Amino acid sequence: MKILIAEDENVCRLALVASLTKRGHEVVAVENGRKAWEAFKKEYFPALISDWLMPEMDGLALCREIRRLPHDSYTYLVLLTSLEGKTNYLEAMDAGADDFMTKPFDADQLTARIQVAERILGLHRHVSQLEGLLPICCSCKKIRDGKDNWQRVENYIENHSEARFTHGYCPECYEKYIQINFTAQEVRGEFGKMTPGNSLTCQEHSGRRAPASKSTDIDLWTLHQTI
Amino acid sequence: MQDESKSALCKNTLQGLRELGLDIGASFFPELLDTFEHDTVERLAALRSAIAAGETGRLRKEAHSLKGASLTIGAHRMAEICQHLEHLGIAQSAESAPELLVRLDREFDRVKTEIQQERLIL
Repeated sequence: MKILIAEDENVCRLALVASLTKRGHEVVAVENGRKAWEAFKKEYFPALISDWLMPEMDGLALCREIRRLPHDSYTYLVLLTSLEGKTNYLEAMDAGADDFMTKPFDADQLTARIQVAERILGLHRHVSQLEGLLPICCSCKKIRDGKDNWQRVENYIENHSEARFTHGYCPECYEKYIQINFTAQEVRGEFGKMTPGNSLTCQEHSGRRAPASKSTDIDLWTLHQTI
Repeated sequence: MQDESKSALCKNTLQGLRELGLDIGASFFPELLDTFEHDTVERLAALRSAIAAGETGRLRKEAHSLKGASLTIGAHRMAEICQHLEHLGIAQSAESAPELLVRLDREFDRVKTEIQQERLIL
């Protein structure tokens, strides 16, 4: 992971860089908040580890500036603290910090924090994909996934979330597609015993009743495809 | 009164830093020691100047930075004295600061001696 370090104290900065480099991270280190801010404006860093008290721009101001930037991707912000007395964590959280580490840093704690950062960033990417704009076919409403494959919308959502679908009809479509067709089939003597009144059940995958939707014990979706 | 029978540098911290150097490059550990020694000389001069001028804000800042460096390298006694100086800076009262600075100078001499010993075994 590419990590930006902002730390004005040379010995602490050297040790931080060495510790993160040893774990295979790509590290850019600067000695104050202003330089970190300049570096951040030029390129995206998934994680920033910043000292709290620094010359020119302190850690809190740096966090605020980074959060103001309209980045599509999230940056996990860790503040280094060795402040005396009661540290104002809430102020730091309001400024946009995600996590804190006490100086001098412990190598194992540092590794753990970076692992948390990687997990959070992974979840954020996942959520962004779900919330982002999806290319959808104007006609058949299939969605194009990241691999350039076109999928039915319910397949796409099932593949990208915990949601599962049961198929049914909203009242409007029921009137439009099913009732009329039932009537026509009944007139022709087909599906004689099946009427909405005696064979429809209402259900949703969550188990709650859904008065506004209707599905049948037989697969009405399949039925509709055949009508 | 300082207990001068104890090591000025924490052996475990030094060992951790030495091992880190083995992983990322032989120059890391000696460079870290050099940086600490060089920067501490400058910080002590800045502390002296801040105390003489009665600038408690600068006293706090310099003591805070030196405390962080001292802890990183395992100079715990130095860090402790820096913390006292930092508190004086926060309280905007530098009356007892000169005495603490003398103790800090003396402790830094001990640290330098041990750093020199570390260099000999590198």
